[in-house]
Amino acid sequence: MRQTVYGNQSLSQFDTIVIGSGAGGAPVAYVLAQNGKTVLVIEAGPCHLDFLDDPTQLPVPRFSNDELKIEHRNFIEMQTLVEPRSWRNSEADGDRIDSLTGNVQNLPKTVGGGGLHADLKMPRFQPTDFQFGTLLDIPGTTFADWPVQYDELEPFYAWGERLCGVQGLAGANPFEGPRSSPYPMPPGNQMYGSMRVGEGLASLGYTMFPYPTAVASVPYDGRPACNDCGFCSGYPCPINAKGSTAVTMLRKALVSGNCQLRAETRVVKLVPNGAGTAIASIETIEPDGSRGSYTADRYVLAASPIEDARLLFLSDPAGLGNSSGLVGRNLMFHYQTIALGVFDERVHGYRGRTVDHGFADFRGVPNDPAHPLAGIVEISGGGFPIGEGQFYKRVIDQLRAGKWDGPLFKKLMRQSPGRDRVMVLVIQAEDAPQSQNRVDLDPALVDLDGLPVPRITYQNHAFEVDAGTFYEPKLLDILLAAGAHYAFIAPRDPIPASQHVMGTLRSGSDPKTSVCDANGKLWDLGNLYASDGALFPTSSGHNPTMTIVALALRVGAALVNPGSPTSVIQ
Amino acid sequence: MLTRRELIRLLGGAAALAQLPACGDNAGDRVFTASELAMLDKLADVVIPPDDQPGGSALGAVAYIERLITAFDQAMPPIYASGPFSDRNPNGDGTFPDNDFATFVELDRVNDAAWRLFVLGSAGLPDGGPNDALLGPIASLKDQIKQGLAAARDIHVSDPAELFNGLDPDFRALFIELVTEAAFAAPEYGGNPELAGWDMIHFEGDSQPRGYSQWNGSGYDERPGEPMSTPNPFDPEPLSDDIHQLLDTVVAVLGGKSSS
Repeated sequence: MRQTVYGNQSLSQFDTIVIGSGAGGAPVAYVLAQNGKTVLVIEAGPCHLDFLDDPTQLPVPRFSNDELKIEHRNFIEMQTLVEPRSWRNSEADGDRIDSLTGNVQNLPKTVGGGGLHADLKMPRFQPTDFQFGTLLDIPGTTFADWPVQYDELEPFYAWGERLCGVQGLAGANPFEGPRSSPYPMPPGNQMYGSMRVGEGLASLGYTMFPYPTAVASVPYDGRPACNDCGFCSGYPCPINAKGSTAVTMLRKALVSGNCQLRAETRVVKLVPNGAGTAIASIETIEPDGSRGSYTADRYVLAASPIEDARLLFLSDPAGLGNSSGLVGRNLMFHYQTIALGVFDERVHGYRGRTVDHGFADFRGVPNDPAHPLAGIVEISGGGFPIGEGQFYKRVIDQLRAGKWDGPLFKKLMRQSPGRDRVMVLVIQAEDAPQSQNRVDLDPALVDLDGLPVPRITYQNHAFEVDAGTFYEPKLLDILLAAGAHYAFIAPRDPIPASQHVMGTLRSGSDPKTSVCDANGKLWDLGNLYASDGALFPTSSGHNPTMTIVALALRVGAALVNPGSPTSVIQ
Repeated sequence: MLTRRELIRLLGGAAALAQLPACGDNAGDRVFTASELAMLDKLADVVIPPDDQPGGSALGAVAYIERLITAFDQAMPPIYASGPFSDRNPNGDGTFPDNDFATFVELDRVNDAAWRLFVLGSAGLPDGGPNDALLGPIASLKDQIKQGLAAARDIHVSDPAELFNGLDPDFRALFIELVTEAAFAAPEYGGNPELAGWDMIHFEGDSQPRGYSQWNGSGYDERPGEPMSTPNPFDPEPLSDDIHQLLDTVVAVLGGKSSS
């Protein structure tokens, strides 16, 4: 019998139910459990971390250096055929763009959530990132100030860095905000490819720094140091060297005795009380397909911005907690500009942590046309052979008018210009919030259980498109200065490739212009909270995980001590 | 003599079952006829032609495809090899771990349905696919392959590459994908025999539990022949002139830049 319940299996009464076990859910469970509150974490996906609740040993992952399993057979992600999402750019497209009913912004659906697949690049946001409602006035956008500013979040950033174990070098990023403490660990071993790119950056006056990542550079908190196996970005860690919130906070919550985890359990409805002022219970589909129900004093949404909004619409066609009309709206993804540099030599970018350095010179300055707001830049290695083959197929399709050229394919695979000789620069650029970019329910498509799937309506604003265009030639110059023989910008897919999903339940200080308050509570419901990237009013130009963790820790702390969340920090 | 079922019970049930060939599996009761197998081999060698290195056929394309098509004939469908390690790389003490890749992960309810739909088509689920009414039923992988092979049989040209390029583009895309997966996935999925695919492209494959850089208490040790922080000792197969020309074309088409 496969195990689906972990932690204290005798618990049946709960102070809080957390829906989702990733970077937004695990920190809440951790804070509550450490403070004596009973918590039920419900996760729709399976658990691939055996012994996750065993205090005597580290979890034994079913994860591995297996490209087919992880990248092409979606071991930890949603399955398009039975869990599709639909997509359209605008209402003018009709119900959906039919050819795009697949994995739209597919985040892992597994115990540990998106924190598992990421290589856990965890920079903080900059202080000004929280103030774009005040600083920017751009027609067609809904930039807003955050209800929590950097100074208030900083102690939670520091706490999250300690709990996850973030490596980095304080002061190396000249654009970083003030820190109350150094990074818990020094940077790890550097990859050859990023050294080459660093030479190009230095020659052009840019500042490269070790990327803050929750990957153990030395043994940390009982977990081993990373051995740079290479299968990092997109791959869950086989040796627990990545400090995902699953193997750090969720594990500690489970071994505390105050927490129970139910995997393979889908929450399909939030049931309000008679007055509609609070949640009375939740309805689930259990691992065997039967129906279940659970109750608690409080409920926390942490299932990802898309699934959070979907659940509120599944619970009420008008959207539960939607007096503002903003549930599902202001959906954001980072606008990625991707530049590839092909070197004559093999820079073996697949050996290492995928991204170990970056630079922030293209984050930009508000209202400065000479430095438009874009984002932090990742210096990344190439991928793996099956994906490389797919890339060459696209190249051959273009160059040979759809005819296959086997000898060319084989020569490309053997000489590997698209993998072994490639370094990649990726801007994670600010995506302007727009009210019409949103999640609702598709009117016809359903999932395996017959429930309407999320429909994403989204198109870019000139804000991020123009910024990307501005920086494209600069990326190419950097790669050529680093010694690349060829450099080009990767064509954009019709659907953005970023798995950084934000917004849909934006937090704010005014119930008319936001869905949640500063502590993550939905304005309309007395005991329903959100604690993941759905709370973001704006997207910043930095990887979101560190800020999700910090916000979630703060949501948990506010549940323990609403008057002084900071006092809960350990 | 123990029966297969008795052996399974003694060895511990489903995990042991996954290690055994299913009744009626493979030789003697194959998915494809002899002529279909010959055609599969021929087309696989169009996708990856043999030269001084093996082609798609020798890289296990047919075995890989058959293993996937027959996945649900087995108690533990070989969809996801388990982890964390294969037995191809040593532990820190020089010993080798057991091969976790040789066993497969039990599918949860949703993944089971998804893979049945992919492999067996809409007929693989009692009520079909969830969106068949809107999008149409899904054909089984076996039927998709067999239909492609039947079409190939009806094209009478001597050049296999010309034959392949005369087939339906959707079939060609599917077949290229499967042959590529066979050649370059871990061998536990049925292809890449003796790691020939990885060797051909100078790729080390899975690297755990050794990795490329191990903390030694004061710094990091790296593999001498496959360094992480320094250049490779040599390039086994440098870029040729025609690949350089191709890259010049790609850069021109995409509006990129070149140092040449």
